[in-house]
Amino acid sequence: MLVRTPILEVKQLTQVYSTSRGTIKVLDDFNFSIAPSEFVAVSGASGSGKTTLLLAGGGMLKPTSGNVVLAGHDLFELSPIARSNHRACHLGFLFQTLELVPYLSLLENVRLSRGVTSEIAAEWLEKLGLNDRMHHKPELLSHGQRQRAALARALAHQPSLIIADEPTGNLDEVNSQIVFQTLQEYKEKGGAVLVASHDPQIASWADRVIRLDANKDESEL
Amino acid sequence: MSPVVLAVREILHRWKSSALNVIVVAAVTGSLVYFSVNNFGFQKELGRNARDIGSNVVILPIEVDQFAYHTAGGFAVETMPSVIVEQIVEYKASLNHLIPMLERQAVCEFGNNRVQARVVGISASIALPGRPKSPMQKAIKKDTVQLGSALAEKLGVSRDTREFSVAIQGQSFVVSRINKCNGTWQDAVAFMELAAAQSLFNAEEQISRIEAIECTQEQCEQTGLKSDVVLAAELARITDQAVLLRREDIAEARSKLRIISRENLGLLQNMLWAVLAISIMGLSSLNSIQRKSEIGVLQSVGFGQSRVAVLFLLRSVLLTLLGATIGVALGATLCYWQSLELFDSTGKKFSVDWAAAGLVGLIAILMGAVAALLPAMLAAMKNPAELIGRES
Repeated sequence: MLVRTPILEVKQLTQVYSTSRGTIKVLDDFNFSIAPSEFVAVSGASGSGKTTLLLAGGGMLKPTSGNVVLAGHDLFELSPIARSNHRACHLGFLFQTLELVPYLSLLENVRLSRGVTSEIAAEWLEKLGLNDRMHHKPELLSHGQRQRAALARALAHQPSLIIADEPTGNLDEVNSQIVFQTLQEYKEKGGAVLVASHDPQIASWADRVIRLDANKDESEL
Repeated sequence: MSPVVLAVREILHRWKSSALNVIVVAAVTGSLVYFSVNNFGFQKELGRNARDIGSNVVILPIEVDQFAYHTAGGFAVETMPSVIVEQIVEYKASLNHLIPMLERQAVCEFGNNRVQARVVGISASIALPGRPKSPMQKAIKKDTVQLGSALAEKLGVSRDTREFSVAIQGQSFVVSRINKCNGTWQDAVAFMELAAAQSLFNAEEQISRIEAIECTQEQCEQTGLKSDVVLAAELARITDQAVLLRREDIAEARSKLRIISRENLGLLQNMLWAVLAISIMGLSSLNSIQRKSEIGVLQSVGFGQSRVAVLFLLRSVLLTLLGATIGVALGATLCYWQSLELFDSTGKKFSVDWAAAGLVGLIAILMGAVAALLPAMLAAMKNPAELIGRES
């Protein structure tokens, strides 16, 4: 049996948040990995730690303890600049709240990703049905069109892993289908996809589903 | 995409907040230029007015009995060589507007009226090298005299009397002017050209006193000595034939006038600088709050902290540059426009000090960059999780 080297490994990840009422342990000694050509969904109720897992896995949130190894490098052992560079090369982000830069056209937004030329950006936008919108500013587009443009930006530089948080939140069924279909095609070409979503369709797209428990321990400081 | 292009695109996109930024910087920079440039004119005007308070230094012959001098209302018959004036100029003493005089009591006649009065031979004021040259005392024309108002009254002439002469010490002089009453001993005096007085009273190359204005500020700051000490020391090095009297009250009044005005204007300027810094800092902070999600986007596509900070800094520098340029132009125009009204004496000669205006503009831009630095750093150091994350 062929054992594929994981693109992302999360080892003994613990994340504790301090609040005015005390501390909340969102993730406790959590382990997980994802390999190329794998589509993994993360599910769980609100507050179960899905976004925390995605942010920590993407090197955007330093965990309380544990390691995050992306493409052979422990992200939080790297300097901030090196981490930023490593992330820019290997990761694509698609977050519900991570919108487009408002003063750039869709084409320019996609070109923000590292190494993406105008041709590549145009190709991706065309693929996602935005060929007649590529010179428009985001404010002139619908939410679905903006989310597709964000997807194009996340994929255009051919990252090893796509991290998506509620990528279909507030999208209609047609747009949701386009997003999942595109992620599926990306996975089939060797990319890894890590998605947190409440969308009931997700289970049918994912190779496996990680379920997180919402019942966290809360202790007084 | 280069940071400059990104910064310019953002400025154009959020044109209302950018315009507000430019207006604030232009208004504050304009005010600063207005005060800085006017301050220059104000200092000149102040200097001129302070000068008009009168001379505060009198140099007398060493032989003068000061008790007798003051008892006689500031009059002495002793003289000293007029070359002392040239020696003072050569030495570049801490004085300016030297007015050498020769004074005598003489009989003045007009018609049947004879009056024993003080006659003062006076030279045009002499400026020392590197000091303001505008004359404090203009030259009196040769063979003419100017009469004090009280003396004219005693001689039975008025300001309406035209083309007449008076005899002084038996010699005829055309009266060029009857001075307005100024409430001092000068109302009872006949003034004539110094050389004419020296000839009339057989006192060639002699003078009774030199009046002057002290310019000791620089020396006092350098040495830590008081004005009277500086002046006495300088005069002792120049000549041993003269003694110096300092009119303390006039000197103090002049000095206080300058210090108070300088401090007040300085305070106002400092307040404006603070307003500029706070405005830029506040507007930059608001901008970084407004662009919270954009920072998250940029960080997710690999913009490091320094690149994000550069974007914010560039924005501030570009807007401050534009605002400061407009402010300098506006402030300078306003200065020029108002100078005639503001400055009675120097207004007509007023010119915009472009170096001062430019300096204000430059400092404003630097201050803009420094003030925007903290918000830029804070924006760049935002935790990506805070910008993106919403726990689900």
